[in-house]
Parts: sequence; C-alpha cells; structure tokens
Amino acid sequence: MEYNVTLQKLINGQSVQSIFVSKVDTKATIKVELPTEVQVSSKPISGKFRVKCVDASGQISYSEAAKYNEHNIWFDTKIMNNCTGLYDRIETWDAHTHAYKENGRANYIYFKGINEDPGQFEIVSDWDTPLEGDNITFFQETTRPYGTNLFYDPVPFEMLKTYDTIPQIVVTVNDLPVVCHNLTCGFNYTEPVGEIASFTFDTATNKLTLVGTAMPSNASDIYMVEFAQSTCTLVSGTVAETGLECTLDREPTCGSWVPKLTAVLGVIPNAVGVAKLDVECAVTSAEPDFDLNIIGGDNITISGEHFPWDLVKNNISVTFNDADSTTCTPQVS
Amino acid sequence: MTIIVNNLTVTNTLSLTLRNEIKSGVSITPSSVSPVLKQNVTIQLETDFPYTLNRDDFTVNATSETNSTYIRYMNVIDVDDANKRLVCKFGGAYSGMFSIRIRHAKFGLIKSTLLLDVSANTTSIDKNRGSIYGGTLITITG
Repeated sequence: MEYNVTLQKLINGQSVQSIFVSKVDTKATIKVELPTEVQVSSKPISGKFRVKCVDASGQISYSEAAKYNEHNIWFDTKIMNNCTGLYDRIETWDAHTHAYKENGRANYIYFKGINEDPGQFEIVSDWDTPLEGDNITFFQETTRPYGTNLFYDPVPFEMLKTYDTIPQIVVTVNDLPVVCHNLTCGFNYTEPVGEIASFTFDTATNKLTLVGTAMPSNASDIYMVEFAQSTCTLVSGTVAETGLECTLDREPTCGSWVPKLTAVLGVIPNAVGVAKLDVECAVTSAEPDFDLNIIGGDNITISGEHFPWDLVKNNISVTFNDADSTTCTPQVS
Repeated sequence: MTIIVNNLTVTNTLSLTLRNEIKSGVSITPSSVSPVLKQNVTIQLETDFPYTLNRDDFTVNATSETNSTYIRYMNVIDVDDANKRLVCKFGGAYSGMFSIRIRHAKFGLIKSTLLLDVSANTTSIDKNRGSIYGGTLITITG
C-alpha cells in the first residue's frame, strides 16, 4: 500500500515537525498530524510588511514594519506610530475573509474621527526584511457601509429647503424650529363637510339647538360647540347628522352671535342664511349711585345679567348722560 | 347712563348723583427729595376735610410727569387728624417731577396739584482741577 502524504506549512513555522509510525499489534499505523494553522505556499512565508498610508491630500507615509503573521491587536499601534495624523484615529480588526488561522491574512482598518476621505491604504513588503513565499499577492479595498460618502459635514438647518405645493405646518419648541420628520409636514385644506342650516337658543335653559345637514353623527367627532362666548356641552343622545342640542357652560355674553361648531375636520360652516341672534344685557343697579366725587375717581359697580366676563375680548362703553361727564373705564368684570 | 356692550345698547334707568364738595391737598413738605434715599414727606389737606384721618383709608402715589406709566406708591405711615396731615414714606425714583395723587376710601379722589421734585443737586466741587494722571481727591457736596 502506498500513501501520498502532502505536508502543509504552519502559518508561523516551517512544516509539520514529525511523522509518527508506531506498531499496534500486528498492524502498523502511520499517523500524520496536520496543523490547523496552515498556508498554501510551499515555501514558508517569512519577512515583514508595512502599511502604506495615504491621507486626503495624497501625502504618503508608512507604518512600522510588522511580521508577516503579526496579530491585529499589535498591528494598529504600528500604523498609528508612523502614519501621519492617524494617532488614536484608527482601530484594526481581524477580517473574516482571511482570519488569523486561515491561509493568508486580512485586516480591517476602521477610521474614526477623521473629517475627510483618506486615500486607498495598501500593504507593501518591508524594504529591510521583504516578504518571501510563493505567489504572495496583496489586495485592498475601501468599505463604505452607508453609501458613497464616507464622511460628510452636518447640513445646517438653514440650508434644508424643500419645494412644496401645499402649506407646511411649522413647529417651534421654545422658539427653536423643529425639523419635520422625513420633511413631510404638508397640510391639506379640504372642503368642509356638513352645514348648519339654522339654530335656536333658549335663554331660560341656556340650551342651544343646531339644525343642519351632514353634521357629525358621533359625539366623539365633535371637538367644541361655542355660542355667545361660552362653550356648550352636548346633550346626550341628541347628536345626529341632522342636528344636535347642547347646554351652555356659562351665561351667554350679550351681543350678536352665531354658533361655532368645530368637528374632527375643522369648523363646520353656517349656511349663508343663518342670521345672528341678539343676546341682551340687563342692568339692575349701580353702587354707589349718590355722592359721587365730582372730580371722578370713584369705582361704580354695575350689576345685571349677561355682562361680558372678559374685558379684552369685548367692546364695552359706559358714559354718563350729562354735559360734563367723562369716560367711565371698565376695571373688572 | 348709557351702556353699550358689543355694539348693543343696554337699556337702563340708572340715575347717579354727584357730590359737589371738593377737598384738596394743600402742600407737600419737602417738595424736593433725593432719588436714592428713603424720605418722609408730609401732605397737608384742607383743615375742614370731613372725615377723621386714618392711615389705612389713604392711597397715595407719585406719577411721573413725563411718563404716566411710571408710578411710585407711597405708604402712609402716620396721620395727624387734628391738623389734617399725612406722613408718607417716599422710597426713591428716577429723577424728574412727579404729580401726587391722593385717594380716601370714603371721600374718594382728593384734588391735588401737588408736585414732588425728585432730583439730586450738586452745590460744590472741591477741588475742580487736578493732574491728567489722576490721583486728585475731589469732594462733591450736594
């Protein structure tokens, strides 16, 4: 029987050191222990190599010389020590294509904190102790995991512009503009759905009744009903497409008013023919009403019904009907 | 009385009567005070003021003649009912002329044409010449 035994080279040695032949009973066994860390070069690789570093401007520098089987945990130090501008700005990892224990060697050089695109780094044979072996080849490439731009400056917010054909919702928080997610903050104005055809208001019960068409049929779709500067609470079971009933949350303010119904898609308009309803004020007394200081300055409390509760939102005028009267300015309401 | 709310005239039959009696502030002492010091000022009312003076009944303030929104309130700290005098504490203000406004809780507004001069005056400077390199001790009196 003939055995062909091909010896493979240790990745960091000459070859297998020995072949064992031993006798077991009446049979002889030849046992060849193959190394796990092998290389295909029949001539054991030896020598050193360097990394040719190229910066963004094309300037070239070389790392310290590393042994052909140098582990990457030492390899990064040799690059940082000699290559211009790379100190503390790279990490080296074992690359999967040629891991440490497989044929050949591969390393990733990971750049960090470099705000420019460096040139292509290369592996070159050391000029003092050149690499030796059969068919030694070098290959290098740049990996850009997130596109063709490896490095880019942040884009100033002022330069972010989009051309939109619909109005944009602009948001600010504490006076700072907020960037729109995906730059899509468009808002579509739509034709209103529904219409209020008429309304009635009962001053005795403060109940407001709206009659219309295509109005929201679900109470949850109605955000707010307002009338005479008061919000209005919906009467349960009265909400329908043809109308609704609600009760004012406070006394109405005198003036001429129409109801305002706000639903999920915005304000539901009143029909053109809907007329304003007058809510009258009533005066019952003024205190004090005698011995008023002739040079003014007295505070007079006028009591009554349906007076405005907000002096800012309402137009109030009080004058005395005598020739020498001056203006009376509302102070509180 | 005519009351108009939101362009609607409010019907009413209110009738108010005036009191013709006017009382005034007669004088203020001192009439000139420092802008930066707290000082007492005395206001003399007419001696026939119809109410017994009670310091809690009075509200006194000083309003800038050039800026009506700049008002300095003066606490009434003492009253002299026999002589109808108020003693107020003025806490300082920007320089300028201030008109005094007096109000009584029962009588109402008291007529006042009193003015308070809030200013600092320099009466002398000693010495009034010295080295261009400094170092001269100057005494400003005012």
